[in-house]
Amino acid sequence: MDVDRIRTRIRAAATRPTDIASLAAFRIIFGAVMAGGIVRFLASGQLPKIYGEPKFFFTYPGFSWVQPWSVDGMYVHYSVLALLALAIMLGAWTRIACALFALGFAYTQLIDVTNYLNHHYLVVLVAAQLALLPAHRAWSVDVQRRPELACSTVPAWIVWLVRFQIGVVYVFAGLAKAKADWLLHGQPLNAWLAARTETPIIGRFFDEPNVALAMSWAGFLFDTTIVIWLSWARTRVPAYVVLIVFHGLTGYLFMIGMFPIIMTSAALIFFSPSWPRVLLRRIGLARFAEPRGSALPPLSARTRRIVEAAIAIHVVVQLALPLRHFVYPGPVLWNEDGMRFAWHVMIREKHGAVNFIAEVDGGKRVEVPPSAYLTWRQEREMGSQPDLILQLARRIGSDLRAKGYTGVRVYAVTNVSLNGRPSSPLIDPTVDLLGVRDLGARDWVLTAPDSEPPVIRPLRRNP
Amino acid sequence: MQNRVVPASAFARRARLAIASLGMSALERGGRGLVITGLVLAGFGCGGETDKHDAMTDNFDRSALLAHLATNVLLPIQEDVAAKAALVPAAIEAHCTALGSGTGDTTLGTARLAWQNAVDAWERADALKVGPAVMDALPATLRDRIYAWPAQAPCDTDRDVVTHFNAPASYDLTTKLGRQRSLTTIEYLLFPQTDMHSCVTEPPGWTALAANLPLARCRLALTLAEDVATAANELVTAWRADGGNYVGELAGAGTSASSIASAHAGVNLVSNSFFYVDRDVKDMKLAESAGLVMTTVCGVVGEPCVREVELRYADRATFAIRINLSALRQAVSGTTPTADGPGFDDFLIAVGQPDLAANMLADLDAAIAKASALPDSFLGALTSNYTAVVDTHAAIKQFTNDLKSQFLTVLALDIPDDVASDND
Repeated sequence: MDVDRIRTRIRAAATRPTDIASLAAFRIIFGAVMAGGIVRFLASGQLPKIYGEPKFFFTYPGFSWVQPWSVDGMYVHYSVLALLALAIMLGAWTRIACALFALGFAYTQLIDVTNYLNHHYLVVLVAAQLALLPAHRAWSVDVQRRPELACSTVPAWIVWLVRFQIGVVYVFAGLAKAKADWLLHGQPLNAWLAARTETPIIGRFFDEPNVALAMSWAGFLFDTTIVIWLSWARTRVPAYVVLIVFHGLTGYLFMIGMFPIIMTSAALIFFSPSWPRVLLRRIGLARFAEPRGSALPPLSARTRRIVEAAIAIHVVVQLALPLRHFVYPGPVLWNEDGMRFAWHVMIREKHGAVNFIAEVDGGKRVEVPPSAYLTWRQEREMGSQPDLILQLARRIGSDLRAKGYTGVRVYAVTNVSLNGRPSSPLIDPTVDLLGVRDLGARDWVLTAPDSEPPVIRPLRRNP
Repeated sequence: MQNRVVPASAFARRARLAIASLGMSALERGGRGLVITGLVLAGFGCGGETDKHDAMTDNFDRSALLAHLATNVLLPIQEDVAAKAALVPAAIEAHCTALGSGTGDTTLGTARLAWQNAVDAWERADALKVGPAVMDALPATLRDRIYAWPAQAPCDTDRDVVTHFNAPASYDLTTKLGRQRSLTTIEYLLFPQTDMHSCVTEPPGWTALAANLPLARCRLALTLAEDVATAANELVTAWRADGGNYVGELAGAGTSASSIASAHAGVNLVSNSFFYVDRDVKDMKLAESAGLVMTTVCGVVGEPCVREVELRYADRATFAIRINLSALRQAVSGTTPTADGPGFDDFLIAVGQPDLAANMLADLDAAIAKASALPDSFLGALTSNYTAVVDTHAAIKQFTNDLKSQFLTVLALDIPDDVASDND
């Protein structure tokens, strides 16, 4: 079979008309989950703590211009996001709503790196994709407004693309667990479960030997293989049941916010594209199950080439970002180089104590505790992440220069514990952080401790 | 601290050795699916050996830790605060009466001593703030009503002295901010022996007070002291079993009798209070006062900043630091002068970290020793024994380095954050 024939067959499969129903359902559920998530966030009281209290925000390279609104403005911002999420759910001006939602949500994340969560990154990616995909062409206000938009089928590649995005999360979250701490020592699950032996019903198992190691392996195997089982019709239903149990359990045990709900609902995209129609018929809503419209009009040759190129770039980026840490020296759990945007989900327990020492001409030496700039939450996040430590060091340096000091040098004295190991210095305390770059080899980040993580003995449940 | 023999985790060690011998370091680079599959089966297969159970767990009881700390450490502290605060109004009132009859010199010392005893009691409570003093369910200002430091507003207080003296009926304490009330403001009213005010421009009516200034200050101090006593009583009532029963809430964390979801969450509430020693004692009381850090108040580095010194009018900062550290040690070790029970050191030993437990206690003891070596006069130490201040700061940092890192990772605890945030 030559390359041209393979390409032809792939293209034929990719353009094969596929029921739009699962894509539309994906949009509806995504919008509903996002609206719920934002309302939950607004009700939690976290907003003023995250956007109002910090005196300093950690920025992403090239995005230092992104600043938060006032606290009241942020409440308005999130309220608008909730309305946009409802618009996505209803399919009202869907593409605009998705694009604005993606931008607006990305804005909330770009304000401060310490806000980073893997599922927030996923939300931005999914919203951006929905802005480009024809998810509004069924079960939407848009179709009610403009019936000519209605479609019954879309090319298969559109559903594949969404499946790819969700699949990437699972697979790379699984591969991220292929580390000695996780697979050989059962850490950090050992520490987490040891602290949760009193969890009703299941906590009784957490003081059993090997349960952390077994659950570590279970998590690893689940993440790395669940896409296979969901993609195979014969195993799909039991796999989805396992998925619900897995996400339900992790959501119950750990404070991971909307992640379990997002993934449980998003994984429905692996079911047959017609699953929503089947469901509607089974629950007596057959009148909503009937397809409306025809197939999605084919793309012009030029547009198709652009779309193919864009998808290729997106796929390459989505595969390269999680793998980039292999290019950097040292373990990613220690140096955090390549940690973000890589689906390293809940794989480490890491805390650090950081103190900055500033020296200026004339021999004056001053300590700068993180508390002078950061909230507890920010300090927790910065304490174990070299690039954030570097950012604050630079800010301290610029503040001292602004006060008229010359010859400013800033050092970081760090003590970081990874997965229960004794604290070790993360940053070379002899290196002036104002003289280093965050690109290329980070010789100012010290090597990871080579000791094994300790075994945390679970406590017996109280009688 | 309780002594306990810690059994080795033989199985876990054996399993790790067996797995390591298979050359699994390659896993760091990914792959080896077949090996992984085999190992997970082996891992599951080895589970369930009941004789390993005792080797893997410890009888340490987090609820017992919480019950002991709540009953024998935290509640007595709140009771002491209430008892000492209740004595302050009478002492100040006696002083005000004496001032009215021109014999205030002898009663001032008594009033100051009553205030000092209340502050000392509160410094212990402040170092271990758990529950009602930091809960939103009760007035958020409860702590600040008792002790608002570092908030203090001398000029506002000077104005209040005048208005309170001239029209006591129209003085409404409930409208005052924390910085205008509490034991910190009473300190400002009882200690400076000058008729100077702290405002840029003289408060209206200040000069007219003339010889009545001491009496005017005393009367405002009395009003504030009565409020402090009331707030301290509210606090201890919230703790007591026959009141708000927070002692039961904490001791019963994880049971149906408590709103605290789990014993672990209860433990985290207590451990949150330990971080007072980091930001308040180390960073504020020591580093900012000594100019070890840049402060916005003085704007200088490497020089003392007296305006940052806690209790500077009474010069009690050294005592405050000693008391803070002493209280922290009681919670970490579970040992008080009158009771001995499980502490966080026992918790660390129970999860297999005796070295960390020993290190943290040793570091804390070293910090306490350094604080003991501080001159009683902190203001004097800043000028005449600066090294002792720097040494105390460094010794506390040694303790907080472990507190903020390995202590949290091995016990799966989190830093204090009054709003739970998501992870992933």
